[in-house]
Amino acid sequence: MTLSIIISVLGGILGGYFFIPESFTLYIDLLINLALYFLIFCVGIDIGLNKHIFKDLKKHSLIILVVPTSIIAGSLVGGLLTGYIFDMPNNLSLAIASGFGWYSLSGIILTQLESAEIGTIAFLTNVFRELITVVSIPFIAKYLNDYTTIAPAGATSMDSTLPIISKYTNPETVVIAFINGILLSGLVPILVPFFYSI
Amino acid sequence: MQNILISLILGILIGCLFKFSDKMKKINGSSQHLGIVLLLFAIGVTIGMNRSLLGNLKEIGGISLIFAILTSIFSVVLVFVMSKLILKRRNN
Repeated sequence: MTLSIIISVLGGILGGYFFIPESFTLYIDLLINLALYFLIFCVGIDIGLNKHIFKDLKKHSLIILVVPTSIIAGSLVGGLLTGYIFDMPNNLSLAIASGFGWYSLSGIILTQLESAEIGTIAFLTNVFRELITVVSIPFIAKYLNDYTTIAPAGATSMDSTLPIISKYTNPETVVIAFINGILLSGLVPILVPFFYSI
Repeated sequence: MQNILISLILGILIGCLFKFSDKMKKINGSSQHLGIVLLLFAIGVTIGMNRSLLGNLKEIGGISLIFAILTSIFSVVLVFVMSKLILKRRNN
């Protein structure tokens, strides 16, 4: 998965730089939109198929509420701080921080809303966040606690980083990680445009 | 943006209403993979076509890295403190 991600981005960059003429921009935009809707539709099916998670919610209700809320609050604080460092408007830094690790989505939304430059920052931010997650989970599980392994993962705790969380923690944490990922993934398409518009 | 929400809700409804065989679940998983690859390729193309963007990739990379580090650190600290509080309450 990780390899195919790197190859498709690099392939796209090289293709865009060397081969694809600028007159194709419209088609590329169309492709982005169609692929995005298709992807979100598939993610929706996944959520619908796992409706039993709504029952599991009751068992761990408090921690299930606290983990995503803390991740959202922590990401926004970190985003605001980065915005101050680089003299960026608050609405942009908050919108970038609201990607919660889901690089494809927030990057595209901000490319459409603002510019390719801000979209790329959002995209790279989340790529780096996922790398940090992969590297830090073993240490977080060892020195902090299991629940905290979900923190850097953000929205990716339901798919790409779930296997790593699962490897270093326990089934209870995996269920919470999955629900957290669903909640945060659902919030990305809402919060990114919301913070952008304030 | 409402198209994204419509796609999400449509997917959730279909997932809730229809029974999916393991094969169909697998197809849904591979479709997502394909969707991600297509999407990332198209994003790559828009980055590659944008020469001025590639020119300041150094600066953009630095900003992105700081965004990633600070959002991760503050998330970790908050989740750790809050989960500690909950665990303490549970044990008492």
